[in-house]
Amino acid sequence: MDHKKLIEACRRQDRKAQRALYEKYSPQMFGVCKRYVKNKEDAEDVLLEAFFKVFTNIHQFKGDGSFEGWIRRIVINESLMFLRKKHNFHIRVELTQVDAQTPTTAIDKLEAEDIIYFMDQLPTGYRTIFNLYVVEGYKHREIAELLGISINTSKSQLILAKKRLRTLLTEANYPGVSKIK
Amino acid sequence: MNRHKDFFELFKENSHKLSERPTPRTWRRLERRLDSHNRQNRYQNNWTLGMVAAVLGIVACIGLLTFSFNENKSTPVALEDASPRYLEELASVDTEDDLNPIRVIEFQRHYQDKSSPIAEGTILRKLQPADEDFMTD
Repeated sequence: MDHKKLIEACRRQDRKAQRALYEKYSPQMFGVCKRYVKNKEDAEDVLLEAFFKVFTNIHQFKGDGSFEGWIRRIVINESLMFLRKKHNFHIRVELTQVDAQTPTTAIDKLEAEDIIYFMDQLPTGYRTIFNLYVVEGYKHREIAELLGISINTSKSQLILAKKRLRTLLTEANYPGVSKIK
Repeated sequence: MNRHKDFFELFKENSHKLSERPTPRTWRRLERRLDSHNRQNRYQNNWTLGMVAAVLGIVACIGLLTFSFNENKSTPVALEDASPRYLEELASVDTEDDLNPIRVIEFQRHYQDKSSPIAEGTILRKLQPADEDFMTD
């Protein structure tokens, strides 16, 4: 079925179209949930809630932008809502305490399990900001608004996240990580 | 930003590898949730329609009552003009066997004129017949 027709059918609450849309986007969106939420069961709960919102608010999608981007925003918001219930993002770290001179890496590839493993090692605040800034491409100002924190907190937590990831990669003797030093 | 590029790009470029099909249970749960939402919506719509119908019914009743009340108020004016009606029982003259009286409704409009044949004047004036022919007869 054509993409536009699929969305149109979903607006009419056509269950087959909803299923088709879910089948198409759920694997990718589940990946997004897993980056934010540590527990897989929790990630499935977040995904379910996000798709429920997608189907019940699909009439709000005007078709101007990308549909995938629209779903992704809902999934990210849902993940952040889940985290907000369990985590306090107001961790104040002064920028002066953070070593800004973080060396870069020369690793070419990271396997899925490794990404999950390394991400899981990060505290929730670091991981969330790292995801929003690095993967999603949000600005520090936007992250600060989304999480209700200061821009400086967002910046400092990103630097700390990167430092922690570098340490983790070094400790794990990840192939290519020796080139960092 | 450039300083971070390699390290950040590493995670960004490889994040798609996290794509994974969720368990079939998730879709079943979602389906149940959507069903219950639709049922709730239908119930809510029916309830709203019912409420609208009830309000319209009440408004219509109030309208009808007000209309009939106004109409009742205006009918006595019409009745005031109407002549008084009396039932008169008349003995049957056609046959002696018929003992049932004949009921006649008689309108007494003409009696109203005849009931006061003399016009009433002031105390200084003489009483005079309203009808000139009354004196000549």
